[in-house]
Amino acid sequence: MTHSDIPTASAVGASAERPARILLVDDRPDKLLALRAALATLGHEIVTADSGREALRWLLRLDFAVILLDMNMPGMDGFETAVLIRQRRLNRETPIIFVTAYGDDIQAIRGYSLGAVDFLLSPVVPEILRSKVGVFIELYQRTAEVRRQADRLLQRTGQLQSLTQVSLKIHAAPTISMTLQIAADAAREILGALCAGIVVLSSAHGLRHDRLFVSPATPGSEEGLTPDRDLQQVAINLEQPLHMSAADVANSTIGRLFPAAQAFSGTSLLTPLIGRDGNRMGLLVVMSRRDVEFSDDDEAFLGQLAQMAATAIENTLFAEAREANRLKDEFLATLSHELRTPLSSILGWAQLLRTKMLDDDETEEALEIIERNSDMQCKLIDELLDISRIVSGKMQLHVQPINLERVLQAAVDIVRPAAHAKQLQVEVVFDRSIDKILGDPDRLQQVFWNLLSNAVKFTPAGGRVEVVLEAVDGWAKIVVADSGEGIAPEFLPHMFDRFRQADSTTHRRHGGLGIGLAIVRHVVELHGGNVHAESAGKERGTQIIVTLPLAAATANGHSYASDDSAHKLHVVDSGLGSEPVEMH
Amino acid sequence: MMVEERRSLEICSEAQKQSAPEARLAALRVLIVEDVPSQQKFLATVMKKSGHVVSCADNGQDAVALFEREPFDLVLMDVQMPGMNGLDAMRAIRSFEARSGKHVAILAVTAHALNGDADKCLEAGADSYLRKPIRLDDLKQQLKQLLSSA
Repeated sequence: MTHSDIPTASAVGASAERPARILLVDDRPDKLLALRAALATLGHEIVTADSGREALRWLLRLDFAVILLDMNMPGMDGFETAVLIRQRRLNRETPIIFVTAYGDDIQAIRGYSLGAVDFLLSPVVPEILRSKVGVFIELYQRTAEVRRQADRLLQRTGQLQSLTQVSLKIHAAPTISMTLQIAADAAREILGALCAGIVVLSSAHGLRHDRLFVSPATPGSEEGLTPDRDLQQVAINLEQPLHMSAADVANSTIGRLFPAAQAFSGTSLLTPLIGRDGNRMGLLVVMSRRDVEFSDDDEAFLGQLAQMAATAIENTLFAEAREANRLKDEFLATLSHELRTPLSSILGWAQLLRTKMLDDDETEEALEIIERNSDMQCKLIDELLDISRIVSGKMQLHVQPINLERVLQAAVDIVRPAAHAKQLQVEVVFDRSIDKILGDPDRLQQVFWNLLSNAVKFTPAGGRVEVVLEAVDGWAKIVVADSGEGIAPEFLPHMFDRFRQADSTTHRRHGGLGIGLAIVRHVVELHGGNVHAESAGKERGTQIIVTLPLAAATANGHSYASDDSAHKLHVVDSGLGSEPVEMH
Repeated sequence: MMVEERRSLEICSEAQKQSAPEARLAALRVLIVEDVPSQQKFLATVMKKSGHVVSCADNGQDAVALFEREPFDLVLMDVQMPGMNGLDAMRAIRSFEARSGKHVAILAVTAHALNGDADKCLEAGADSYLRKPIRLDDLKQQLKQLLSSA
């Protein structure tokens, strides 16, 4: 006869620990019944077997805290059964108590040698039985607890080790986006979660929108997704780690954030990202694979990871601010120098004129120098004003349908004398069938003039400058290529940044404020276009590629949005007159 | 006193011409190092009109080469130039002079006007410096002091 039952919680004397399992092995049902009755009050699960084979079958399936084994059974007796039990690796340590009618020492010694830990004389005295079984169960439970703690420590150590590795990766990440992706991936992988995500509030990272980084990453999530409104609210208000049960999760929108969490039925743990000053920067969330709550250790781990991510964000922002500050200082020094240079010629030659010691030719030259340098000064001031408009978001475009070819030609005509002076060959390849576009002719001419004068400036005498205008997939594509100095690859991504110059040392060959290209980019982007540079490297020439939307010109008298949705461009009247258009 | 008068510079003002015509007697050999053409020409004109003999260089290398080849009484040195800048050129000149024990007056002329820029010039070997834009009176004053102490 076999039987297994699970005691109810009301069983008297039930251990505060989790119930253990006892295996009773006897060929006589009445004895099994008596043993079961005597042990029932301990509150453990009791499994009975009526033979050695049956007992072994149970041992294959379940884990037991203690085995009570009748010595005298038909077929396979207690000793044989004990030998077989001990041969199983998992049961090498399982306590076996022999129940025997014999009282002789020979049997006892044989029993002990086979791995018995104790003997009980049959008929058993219930108190003695309970007491002995109780001792072994307690031992079993303590051992199990120690093992659990050891496992927990091992897991925690593993987490801490992973955290150290993650820390190195996080702090080595060059951008905030990469930092956050690494942190989200780490949360998911180390906690064995189904998915993880980090919400960063715009206030915390200086960008325009709140961002959500998910792990596993999905195509297009590298720079962050837009978190849904509910999650934004949670991120704004979360102060403490928050455990969400499967039911909580089911009632919220949180599962929808993650493509991996479709039909999600697990739990969730959220922890806030807190900055140095206690400001809330966002949150870190993990979703479990099963309906099991995250543990305290998981919470502690996630807290540390969140802290690390918050610090990394702040450090990156700090470094960026410091770099911006450095660039600004450098810019001010350059500005001071660049403003003084033409002024120096103006003032110098004016003083010489005053002495009346210059002859007619010299006087003529002095006046010419003064005029030329005054023009330079004016151009510098215009650039400064432009950059100030860009910074304050107040650049105005006077938009009208324009003929790009004509605008480009005008820019080429302006730089042609300078190009001739350096014996540069200027080639122009225009697709004359190109449609009109909507744009500000003066601003676009400024853009092309800027690009062309750079090309002339940075190309050594005898070189070549090429201007190409063509239509590509609904865009007007303008390429200004030169055979000049080229751009070092490390500088390419910064070319269109404000206040950046490839060479800001006192060795530099070329003047200028380093804001011309920043203005170019801004104007082009205001037109809904794009500008980028390509160069095969130093001394290999440069290509600047501007694209402007062609389709816009057909939107007669209506509005279109520029590439950056924050800068809406409203064409008030695209007919004859054109209204100033303000950008915000 | 005699030395000072003999070497002081006359810079083209009517008042000066009347009060100290003898100051124009001494012709100095001046090396002007400046990459901006209109600036170079301005300094050269000022010096020539004052009766000095002028040589010009567009950059540091040319200036040092010229200095090592020919004798000069005065160097006017711009700081920011392509290739070898003014600071490096002054260092090169000073280390060249260290062999002969001579010391030619160098007046640095710089459009860098921030704190520390002047110190950089003096550390590099300038005897004094002038900020751009240059005022003729200041230039005259500076040269007078420089050459009297030389």
